[in-house]
Amino acid sequence: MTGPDRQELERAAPLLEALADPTRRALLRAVAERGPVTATSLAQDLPISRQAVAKQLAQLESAGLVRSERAGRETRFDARPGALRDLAGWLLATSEAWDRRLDRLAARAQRVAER
Amino acid sequence: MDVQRDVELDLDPELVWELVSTAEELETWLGVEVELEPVEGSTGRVVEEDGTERRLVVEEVEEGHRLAWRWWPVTDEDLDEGGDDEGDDGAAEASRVEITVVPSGGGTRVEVVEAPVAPLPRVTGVSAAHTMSACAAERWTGRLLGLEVTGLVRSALVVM
Repeated sequence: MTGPDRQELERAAPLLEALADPTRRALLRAVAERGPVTATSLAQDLPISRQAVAKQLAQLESAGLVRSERAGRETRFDARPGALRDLAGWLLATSEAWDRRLDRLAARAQRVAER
Repeated sequence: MDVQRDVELDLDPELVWELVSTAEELETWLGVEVELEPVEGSTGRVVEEDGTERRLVVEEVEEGHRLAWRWWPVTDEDLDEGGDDEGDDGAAEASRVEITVVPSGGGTRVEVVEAPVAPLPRVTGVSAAHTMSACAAERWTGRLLGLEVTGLVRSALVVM
């Protein structure tokens, strides 16, 4: 088992920040379920304004969680699953690394206690 | 969102503090080679069994209770460059580790939190990731991914 992958970690911080907000999470879920979809269409189904939707989408896009594509006069948004897989990869690798370390710490503590 | 782990040890907090804050003891569990001094601002390194090497800077020391450092992986290029630039290499991949030693029953609980450090909003010296870790609802508690994130991954995969 290797340590957390470099690219995974590099992208984890902005991802976590983007996901920390419940409105953005709801929006991301809507985009994932309905994309490619316009901001206007998303705003119709969510209790926030079109402007607020556009602003949150821009943040999701800069975190790499969604991408936009112009189609004629419309901009459509779609989810980018790769970004979430990277985040999941970092969380899993880091969790497993600490499981192993704390197992070794517990073993060490046991030996010290027996002294 | 961050990674959180804890372990209950049948040992006095004073002894546990030694296990988590001295290089000699850290080499019995954190990594095969550890250079770390529990002094704020001091630099060090950790080499793991698989050869992964990280540099670190100690960020917070509350004697007997809390130790926090920021660490980041060292790449082959960093090593080729030779110099001991303990500064910015790999800073984009840095994360913060906070270890807390808490008396618990007759023994001691060790709590670990690791969170990625956002490279950009680091102006204040308080990492965005750290601020985020205060958001209890977002806490990463179990062995598995939080349901919400897992759900998002799944729905995102369906879209592909």
